[in-house]
Amino acid sequence: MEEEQTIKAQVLSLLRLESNAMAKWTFGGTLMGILTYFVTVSIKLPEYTFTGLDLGITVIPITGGINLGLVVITIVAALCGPLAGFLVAFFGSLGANILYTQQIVALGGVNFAFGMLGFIVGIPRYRKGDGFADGKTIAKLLLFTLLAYLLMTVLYLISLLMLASQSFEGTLLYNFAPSFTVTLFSLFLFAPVFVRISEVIITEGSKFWESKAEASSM
Amino acid sequence: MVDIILKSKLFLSLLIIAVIVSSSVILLTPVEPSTPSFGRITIPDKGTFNLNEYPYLERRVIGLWNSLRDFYSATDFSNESIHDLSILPDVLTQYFLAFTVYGMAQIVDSTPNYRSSYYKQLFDKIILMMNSTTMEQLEWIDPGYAEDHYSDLGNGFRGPTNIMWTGHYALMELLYYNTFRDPKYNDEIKWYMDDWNRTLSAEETWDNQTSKDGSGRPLGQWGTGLIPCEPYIVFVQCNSIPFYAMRMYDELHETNYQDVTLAGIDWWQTHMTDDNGIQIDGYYVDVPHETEGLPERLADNIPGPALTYGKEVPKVASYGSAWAIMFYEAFGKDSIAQSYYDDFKKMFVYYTVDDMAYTPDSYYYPSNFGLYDLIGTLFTYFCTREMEDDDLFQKIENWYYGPFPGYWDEYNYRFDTSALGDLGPFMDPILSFAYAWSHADSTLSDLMDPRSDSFYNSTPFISEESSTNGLFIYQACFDEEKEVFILTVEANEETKLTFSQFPNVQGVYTKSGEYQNWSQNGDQMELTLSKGTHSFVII
Repeated sequence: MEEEQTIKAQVLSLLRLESNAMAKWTFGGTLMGILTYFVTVSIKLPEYTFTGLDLGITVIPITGGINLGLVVITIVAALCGPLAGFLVAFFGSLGANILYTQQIVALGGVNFAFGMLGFIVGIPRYRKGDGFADGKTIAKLLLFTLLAYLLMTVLYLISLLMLASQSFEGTLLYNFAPSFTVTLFSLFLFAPVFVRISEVIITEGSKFWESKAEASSM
Repeated sequence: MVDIILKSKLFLSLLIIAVIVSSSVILLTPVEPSTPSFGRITIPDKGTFNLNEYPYLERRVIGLWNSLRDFYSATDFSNESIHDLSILPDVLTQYFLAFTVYGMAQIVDSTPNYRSSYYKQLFDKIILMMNSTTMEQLEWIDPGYAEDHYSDLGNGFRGPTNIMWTGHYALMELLYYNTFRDPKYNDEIKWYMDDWNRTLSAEETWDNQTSKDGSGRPLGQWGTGLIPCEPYIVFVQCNSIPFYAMRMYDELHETNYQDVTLAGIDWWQTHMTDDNGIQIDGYYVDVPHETEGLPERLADNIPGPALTYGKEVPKVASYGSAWAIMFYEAFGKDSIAQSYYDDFKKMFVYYTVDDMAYTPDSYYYPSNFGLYDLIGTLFTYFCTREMEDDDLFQKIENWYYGPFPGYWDEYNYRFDTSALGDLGPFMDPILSFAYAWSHADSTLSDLMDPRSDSFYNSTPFISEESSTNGLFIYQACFDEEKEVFILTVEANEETKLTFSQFPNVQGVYTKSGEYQNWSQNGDQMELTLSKGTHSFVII
């Protein structure tokens, strides 16, 4: 019984649901994240292909650019935990698919792959101590992003190869290669920068509102 | 706040790299010259003309035409250039040329009053290449069809048993006539019309069997209402080309060749549709003499359908289905096209991610990836546009063009196909003409409703330009009702346009008032353009 209680507490803690305040934070972040995701994925930012990396079976274009959807998922996961990260990535991408293309593919397998990205990135509690002001925390974020990226890629490939029945060559050429470097740039360069900026905005914003509230109560 | 953000060195490094990458992308991304906005032009006592209501070509489409002109050396009519097809792949060569011309016809029809050699030369060049001895060698002699045992039936590359070449060739010539009303190929076109009519109206087959359907209509020399391509095999898609051509000929010359196609259209729906509602890719009327190396598999019982490799089911092919559906839609058999299109989407279309779709060659092998899968998706791309299925059209385009970034090489637009490796050079011109075809204003259905002879013989048209270098004619359309010429053009050097059949021009107007730099020379009018983009209404 006690063990069950402990596991339950651990699960709630992992999902950032251990208190009402945390649950509000998690679901508030989820809601904000999904809405932001809908807006950002519809924005097409410029991309530029610097060169191509010839791998023999295909050429990987080295393209500079940013996938804002991936950045939003990482921000929510890093700040609000794995449940929020999963929900934003899964329902955000699924909702955007329905909203913009009226298409759910491979039984939602690709959306699930995104969801797992958000979940894994969100597992550590980054905001202890100095939060992302500490370089070690950013390094930890990059490490978990790497693990999440590898898992997402495996699930993404399984989804396209098995659920969508696409050939390996087709998947490589049409789905994987064109977005490969933009995904890397988004997850490992732009996402940590925006996570840190978001954290500062939230922290400083809270301080500002608290000081306003104190001033008005005096 | 800045101090707080920049506390960590790792963060600072990431930030600097992010700024460098972002700045490089922003600075290096070229601003793509775009299709102009057309706007409105007001003429005193004539009213306001909204140029957005007239057909136009996108800048990219004209840039792709420029690339194709260079690719085919459009101005070189030497024997060597016509008969040397080494720039083209040695497989599917004739389809390459034929479908390029079908796309070209739709492009030229989008600016119908611009008919100079800029457009005509490329038509002429490709038609000559299609009729070259090298083509005959590649498509008829090399596969061994010239040796086949039905050669005594008048067989031959240009003969009545090779609809896959004769159909395309005659339609290319007919589209040339339809586009320019130049009759130079008309005798040859008429010969093919009569030949197809003779073949399809025969009441006895080549082996002296009665050839009629249940209603007593003749089923022609091959007992199917269709004409074969390779020895003893008929295809629905290949026959959709002469069927389309015969209807276009009827529209142009008030004849009635199309009646002879009706029995065949009914016959194949009964005999060449599989259990999934998909047209079968090939039906053998007899056993070919040479069976080795045939692209289709023979069934045990002939006559009967070609079979899928490794399975005892009829062969299906996305390219053939999509091709036939779009031509049936275009020649007015809408309900047949729609019915087969619905089943086609169900069986052939695979969605990878939400905004991408492709069609494998066979739905029995959806995970194959090769030339025929790429060709199948290409034909689906054309078909979705003809069927006005904008949603699927966009998803196919996203998939097809995703790995091949487009770019401007001065006035030529191109796609970088290096990601395809060895297949890259093969796909390069295909991607060019396919995009241009699919972004033209006209469709195959539009071409089936030809303009009147008087439109060509009496309304003004641009017959000559002093230079095509950097010339983009976006709109060139004579409004017969309002008797005005609508023109939007970009010139990158001083350029003179000559209009024929344009006597008594009263004035040339732009958005900012009357334009003076033109002159009348008998029936011709000459308009001089400075560098820039101009919109005109000429009365």
